[in-house]
Amino acid sequence: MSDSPTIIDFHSHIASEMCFPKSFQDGVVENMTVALESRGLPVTREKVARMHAGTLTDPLCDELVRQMDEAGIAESVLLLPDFTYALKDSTHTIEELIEHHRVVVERHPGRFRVLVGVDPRWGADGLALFEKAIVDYRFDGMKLYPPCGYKLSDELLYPYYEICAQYALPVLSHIGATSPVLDFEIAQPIFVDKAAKDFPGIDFVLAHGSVHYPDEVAMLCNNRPNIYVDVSGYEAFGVEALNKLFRRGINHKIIFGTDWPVFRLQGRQLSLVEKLEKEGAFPDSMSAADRDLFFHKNAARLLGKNKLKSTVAGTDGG
Amino acid sequence: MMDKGLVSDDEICRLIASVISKAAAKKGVTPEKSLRGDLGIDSLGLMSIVFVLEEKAGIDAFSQVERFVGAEFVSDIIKIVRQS
Repeated sequence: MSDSPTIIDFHSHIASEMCFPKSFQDGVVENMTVALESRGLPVTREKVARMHAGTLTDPLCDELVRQMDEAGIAESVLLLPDFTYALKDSTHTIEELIEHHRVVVERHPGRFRVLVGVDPRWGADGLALFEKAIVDYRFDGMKLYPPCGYKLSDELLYPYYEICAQYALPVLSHIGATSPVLDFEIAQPIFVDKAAKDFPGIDFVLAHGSVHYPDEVAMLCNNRPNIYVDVSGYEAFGVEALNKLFRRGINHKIIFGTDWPVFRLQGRQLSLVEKLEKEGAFPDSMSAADRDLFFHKNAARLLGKNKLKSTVAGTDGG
Repeated sequence: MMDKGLVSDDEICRLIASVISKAAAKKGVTPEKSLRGDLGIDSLGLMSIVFVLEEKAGIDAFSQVERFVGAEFVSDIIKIVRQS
């Protein structure tokens, strides 16, 4: 790839079973098993689970950094969704998971940022924990996971949004289907609208928007100045939808993301980046400047608004 | 089930071809082909390869999960089968 890495991967996770409760993984495995059985293969759930677990073997992100270097990815944004309220088989508390993300960030200086999730139903303790992660650990924004059981415009989230607005931090939310152990209907993109209107100073990023509800997501991006879309998930559903998204006049809103390690069985980060060009993700109408926006400038613009980092580092605004 | 010591490279390629798309298989499965770039193998495709190798080539594929996750080329798969 490039000699000087410039790509920002706005959607990645730490590849460790500690971050994904067993019930969440079991749901994913169930879907894989059904698909493999339909091919007439001698499948067992236990073996599919072992294969899936083989993708969650990089708890300190050492392998991810190697693959980022190969792929020309300068920085990855680690997303920490809080499953611990909704899924009671979580092996670690959200506080422990936040601490682990801090360890990873410090282990690889300059390579990772964190958008941190705290389920809004944890009450005052959860809010304090979130504020600590933002102010003391200098994490870069919020990660939300509505399938856990809340809408993006739920007023329980507003104190969190106040903090994000105060420091000009982005909020990224999963939208659409996920592990079948969680709810799908509540994760529709339109539920961001009230929050985006009430908090015009927050940039909201709808994850997987090229593959889940693409028409609704494009409508929101076109009409709300502070709504963006990340394209993670293109690996599973082909790049045709992405090509269409790039022709909808919102290239200043579209952000690159891989969803590492979800598609690890599909190849290294380099091949996931190369797949875009190779399979025709970029329409002829797309300029080089638009590609720069997609691969890093849109992400850098959102991350660069962070008032805490710009205050401290002076030059560390992006 | 075949004896893994007797499974030839060609046979491993044939087993891989049996579980990937017809279009990819038609291009020919050979050791130098990349699994994703040349053969278009996705997550389920890779899992299918592991299952079929376990069933037909008699290897304990699931003790080699991390190696399969890291496999890039058909030759890597052949190497895993040989060393299993």
